[in-house]
Amino acid sequence: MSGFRLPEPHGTRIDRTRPIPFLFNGKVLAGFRGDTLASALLANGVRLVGRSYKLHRARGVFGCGFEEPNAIVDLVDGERRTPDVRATTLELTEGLAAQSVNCWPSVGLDFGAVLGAFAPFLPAGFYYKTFMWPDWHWFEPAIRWMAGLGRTSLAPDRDRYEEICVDADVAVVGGGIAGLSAAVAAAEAGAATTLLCAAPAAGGALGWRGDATVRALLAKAGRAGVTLLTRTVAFGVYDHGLLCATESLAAATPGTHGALRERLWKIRARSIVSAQGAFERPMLFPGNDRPGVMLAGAAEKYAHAHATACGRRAVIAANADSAYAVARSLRAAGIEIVAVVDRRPPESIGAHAEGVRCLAHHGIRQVIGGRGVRGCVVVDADAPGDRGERLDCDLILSAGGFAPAVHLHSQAKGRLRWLEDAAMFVPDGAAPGLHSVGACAGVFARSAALEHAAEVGRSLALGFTVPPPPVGGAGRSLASSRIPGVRGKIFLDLQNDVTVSDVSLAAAENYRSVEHLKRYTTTGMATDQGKTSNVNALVLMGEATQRAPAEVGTTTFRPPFAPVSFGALVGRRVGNRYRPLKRLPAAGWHAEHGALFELFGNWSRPAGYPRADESLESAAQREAETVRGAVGVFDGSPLGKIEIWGADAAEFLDLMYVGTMSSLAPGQARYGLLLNEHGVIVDDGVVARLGTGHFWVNTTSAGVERTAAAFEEWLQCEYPNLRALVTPVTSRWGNVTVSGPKAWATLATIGLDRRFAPETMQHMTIADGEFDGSPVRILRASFTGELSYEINVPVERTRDLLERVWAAAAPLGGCPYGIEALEILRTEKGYLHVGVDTDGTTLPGDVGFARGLERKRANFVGRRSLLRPAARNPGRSRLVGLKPADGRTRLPVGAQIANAPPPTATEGHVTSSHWSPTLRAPVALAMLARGAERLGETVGVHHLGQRIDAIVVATSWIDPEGKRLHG
Amino acid sequence: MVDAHDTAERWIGGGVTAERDRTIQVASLRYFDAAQCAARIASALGGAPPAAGRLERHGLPGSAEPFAMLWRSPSETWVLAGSPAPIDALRRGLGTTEAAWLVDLSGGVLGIHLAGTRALAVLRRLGSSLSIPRLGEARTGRFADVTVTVAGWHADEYLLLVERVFYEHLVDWIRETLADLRLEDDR
Repeated sequence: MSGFRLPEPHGTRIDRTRPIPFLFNGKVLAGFRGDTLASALLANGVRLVGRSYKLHRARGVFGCGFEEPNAIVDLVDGERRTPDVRATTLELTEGLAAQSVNCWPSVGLDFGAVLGAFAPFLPAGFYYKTFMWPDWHWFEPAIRWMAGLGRTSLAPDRDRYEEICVDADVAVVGGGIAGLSAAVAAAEAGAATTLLCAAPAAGGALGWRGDATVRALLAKAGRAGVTLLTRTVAFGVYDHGLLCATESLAAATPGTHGALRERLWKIRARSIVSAQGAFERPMLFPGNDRPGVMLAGAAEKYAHAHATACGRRAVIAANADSAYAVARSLRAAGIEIVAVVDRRPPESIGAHAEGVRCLAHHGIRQVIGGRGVRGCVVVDADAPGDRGERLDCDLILSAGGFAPAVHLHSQAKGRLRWLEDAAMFVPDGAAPGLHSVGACAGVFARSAALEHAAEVGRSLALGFTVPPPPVGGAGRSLASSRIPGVRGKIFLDLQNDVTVSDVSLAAAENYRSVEHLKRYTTTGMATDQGKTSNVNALVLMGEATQRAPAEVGTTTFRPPFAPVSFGALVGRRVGNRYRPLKRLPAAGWHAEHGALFELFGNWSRPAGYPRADESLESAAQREAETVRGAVGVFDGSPLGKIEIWGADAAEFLDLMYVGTMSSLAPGQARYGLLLNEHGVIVDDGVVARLGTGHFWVNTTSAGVERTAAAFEEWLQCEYPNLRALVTPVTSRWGNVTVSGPKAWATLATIGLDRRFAPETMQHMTIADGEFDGSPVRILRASFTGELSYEINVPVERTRDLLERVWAAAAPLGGCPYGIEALEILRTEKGYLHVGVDTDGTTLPGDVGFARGLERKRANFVGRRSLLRPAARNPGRSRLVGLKPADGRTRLPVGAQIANAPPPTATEGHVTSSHWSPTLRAPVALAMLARGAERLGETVGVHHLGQRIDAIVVATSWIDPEGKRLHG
Repeated sequence: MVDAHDTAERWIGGGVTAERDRTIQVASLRYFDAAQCAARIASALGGAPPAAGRLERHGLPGSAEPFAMLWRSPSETWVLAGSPAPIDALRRGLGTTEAAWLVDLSGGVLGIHLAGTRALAVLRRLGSSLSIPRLGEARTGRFADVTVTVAGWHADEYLLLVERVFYEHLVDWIRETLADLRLEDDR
């Protein structure tokens, strides 16, 4: 251990009896339990921890929490790699291995640092102005290679993440004394209270100082039943009181996988209290990014909480009274305070530090040292050109005032106001559902913060009016800590290398909106989201454009407050749980018969049943041919099934479908198209009448939920007078479809009643029957063009029925067939596939339903839109068949139909295309402008630079008269 | 691969047991106005459609034909039973009335009992806390990214009702959650 560890009693957060070895850039170092990686590095004398994003400048630890812009590392553990982790919030654990990012070959010798020599050519927005000649693409690979910080692992993340949803009367964000005070008061008043604390222990700054008030509040919180979540970062406030946070569970043990690493909390809170404190504002002086320049409050925390001296001789650059408290504190810890260089005039300084030299109205003109501070030159603020005074030091602390953490307040749509004296934005009243307390409300006086927070907690619990915050206590600060006229590179956004001159340039180029400034200069757009740079940036923008900070305003605060891992957001949604997968009731039967499963509308269904040495395509050919020649067995269980019941069911279905359903007699069925209000086809299916006021509606497999929802919406919102009830029953019924010329022979073998024979049961009829004691509902409808029976059976009997049917079909030369074969069969017949042959513009008239529309007198959804001139335009695309002129080339789906090669006006495109095993020729469907008038015409089909001539034909290639449907 | 109805039926972890209810029968009782058909339902089953958000259990578990009625919406009550008898009785009792209609969903809706002192913790890891009912309540919400109706069945016991097609998906999430509870216990 180096000489940067302070003796006890410093180190309230570390356990000196528990040393922890760790690796940093391949070097073995040691810290203590309770250290962060940053504190351990500082204790080991490591000053250079990273490189900046754009210019690869040497950088050291700057802060002690979420504001950290510099100390960004990758955690490496075998194939597990966690990129861009802040060393300041990362707890040290056994075996931790961290690497600096954005440097090569090492952080000490980084070839990228050569960019510093070209810095004048890389101002704000340089990528809009440079690298244009001779061609951007010449430079693009190198720039892309250099961009970015850490690297993620390409291997799957094998750790576990979970999500949890809870309620709270009051959710308090922030475990400092204000948050604790609010939580205790709320809980004592009877509210179910949850307190979220980002640190491993509650208490905030007073906590690591060992303050007795914190201990008392923690004890009270325990007694009052406050639910305390430590290591939990609230990152977003959303509608209706939803507060989201991530909890870091035990750090993943190196070398092991499968640990529960993070938990996403979704807290639905009646009231939210934000007590997130404030960030320290950096001072603006040349060289303010050098390793050894850091925030004063951070240095104090490292000294007290982690017994780490960030340097031995410190200069404090000040713009706030807090500098003097830090000076006293560090001096007591044995760190020499060379001077407090206070930018403010003497009359604005409201504090002092005994025995510490104070240079009022002074500032730093130069930092001496490249990879570490060796000193600085200070000058009178009114005479920046003077020789100044050199102060030798190895640490420069920045106490530029405070920026209250108004992130959650702003996310909740709260307003802000600018406090001129303290130079900070504070909440302007409460946000909807969210109240701020403590420093984030602008309340910096301890007793006032405690009392106000307690009053807020109590009021929220009891439903009383919440008192406004007693804003104040921060003293006076200048809005801008920069000394006008000093020369040198002054950094605003340390992570993105945005400088003061970048803001000046943006202003000179007439940028005025702070949102535009942000995007042009990229200030505030790094992983720290500008927690140390935003206020300074907008103050400078105001200076450059002669506006007060309040006039400039802030950029929009959006979640997340701190980076959130994808793992936490995804939670359990990995692998099979990525999205809900619908499984067939007899999936096992299909697997046993060689099914190749693929996803179709979230259903895992057999695409086909390829035999050994058979591709899916050749299997589909064989299966389709078998259906045409013998019999095929198909699992149609996913087919959407909805029952409609009620005295007005027929009238309701007439309103929903293009077809007229009220004219169906019980037992009859009819094909129907479902439109939306725009007249666009959104689904299709067969509607069958079971009784006077009872219908059975089949929808597409993927469309049943939205169809049922649309039915409900129309019933509840537009037609509440109709007595009709909609009940989806897809899951209740399995469906085994038997199709082909030997379909009835198959079903007769299993003992189906003779009344279902094709001679007695007509095509497009429905009848109830029985299968082995179970009710079945048999529909004579066909999507193959062959004699077909759709047998709906109670779902738990699906496998039994499949086995019986298969036992009968196999000896007849039958086969099970999958979706691919079905697609071939329906394309051969020219049957429409909604969503494949149609898109978001297709109207019924486009697919051959013009006559049906003209005939229907009753109103129906979408009808008005079909009367518009655009809908009746004869130039609209129409569904047609296409056959290649050479009789053998299969037309690619999506290929454009045009007279000339693209780019040119297109006349249509191919929607479905297959090789027909029956015709021994390709068949295709297409949407073609004025298609119905162009039968026999040869058109050009263009695909990837190739032209294929095709002839426009009618849509049905096989059995256009439909004789095969009847057996 | 086995078919859904043949899969394992019981999972334990973190002090919670999840077990499929093999016998549950589910029917959807639909009506335009509950009051209009209340008398018929009462005479057929001895119970009336429950108030909004409520679960009403009738008959003692283990007695001849216990059943439960669970509010789903202003026009729908689910009838749950351990055998088809109560549902058949209700169907007979309704007769040909135009006031109400019964749709048997048995087999299409499956039930899982989640029991144990941390059953609530499991539910909180599956879906929104707003969708978790108290004892004697029933709510329908999004759990494990699918629609699930949850009933507060006993103290520390919930009945989860899910469409058959999503049963395996829900069970997968429950298994993972129980595994996580075990991991948490081990920490």
